[in-house]
Amino acid sequence: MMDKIDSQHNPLHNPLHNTPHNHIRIQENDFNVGDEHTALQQDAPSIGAIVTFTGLVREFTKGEDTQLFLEHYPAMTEKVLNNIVKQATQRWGIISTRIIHRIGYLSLGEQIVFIGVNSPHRADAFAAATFVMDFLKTDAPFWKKEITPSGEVWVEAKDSDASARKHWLDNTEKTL
Amino acid sequence: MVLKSAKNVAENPIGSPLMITLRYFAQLRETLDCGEETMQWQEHINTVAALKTQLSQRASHHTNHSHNHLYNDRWQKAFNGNILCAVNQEIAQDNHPIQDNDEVAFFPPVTGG
Repeated sequence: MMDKIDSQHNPLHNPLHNTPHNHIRIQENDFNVGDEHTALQQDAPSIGAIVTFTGLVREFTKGEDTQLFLEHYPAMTEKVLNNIVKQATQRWGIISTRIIHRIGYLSLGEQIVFIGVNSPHRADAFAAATFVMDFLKTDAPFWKKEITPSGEVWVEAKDSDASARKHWLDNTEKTL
Repeated sequence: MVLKSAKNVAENPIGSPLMITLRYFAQLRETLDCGEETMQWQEHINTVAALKTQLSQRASHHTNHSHNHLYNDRWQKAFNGNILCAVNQEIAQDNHPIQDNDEVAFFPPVTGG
């Protein structure tokens, strides 16, 4: 049995879950990076810096017709992403964040994930965007399955992602 | 799928049995052919570790049905593998307590982004 994620009924679409400073959406539909960038500008018109990251479905099996299937644990996703944003907000001078993660079936080259951060200063915006993405990859309950003509395989977690997360924790210890 | 009731069923103050919800995701959901189930809470499954042991023993629970042998072996294999647990949507270690009404989820390491 699989969670049916309908973008119209997804609780994360409830505007009550999103303040101007912390916008999170989990959806099947594609998103428009330009619209998200505009929204970040509108959150704070006098802002100094916006950093955005867009993750795409890359080719994982050469020459084969490939698709990804993405599943998540809705209630936990919301808690984890809110917590990551809270930590980033405590750590850097950031004004607002936008996170979008797609679920369902995605084809090669499609957009999967968007992270946008705005801040008075570029260093904070770059660092916070990287931090949010690194923790999303290791802590947010999403799972990918690769679907090719030769079969379906669930993607395995990568050590390099765990190392990226650990890097931030090591840095915290050094600064304490 | 619900395990058969124990002889002494734990009850809450209004007399209904204590229940927990179990959820499985991704590869685990497919392997176990189960996304969600409810189970009676009992004293001997009051931690994550105890619940995992109970679930992994579903193999022996059903071994009389030879046609189910392959299916049931999957529970044991699944719970011996590298799986994470969340209690009420927060990552929980083996010693984390499990109580009435808890939602307990099991899943492989995450691969989003």
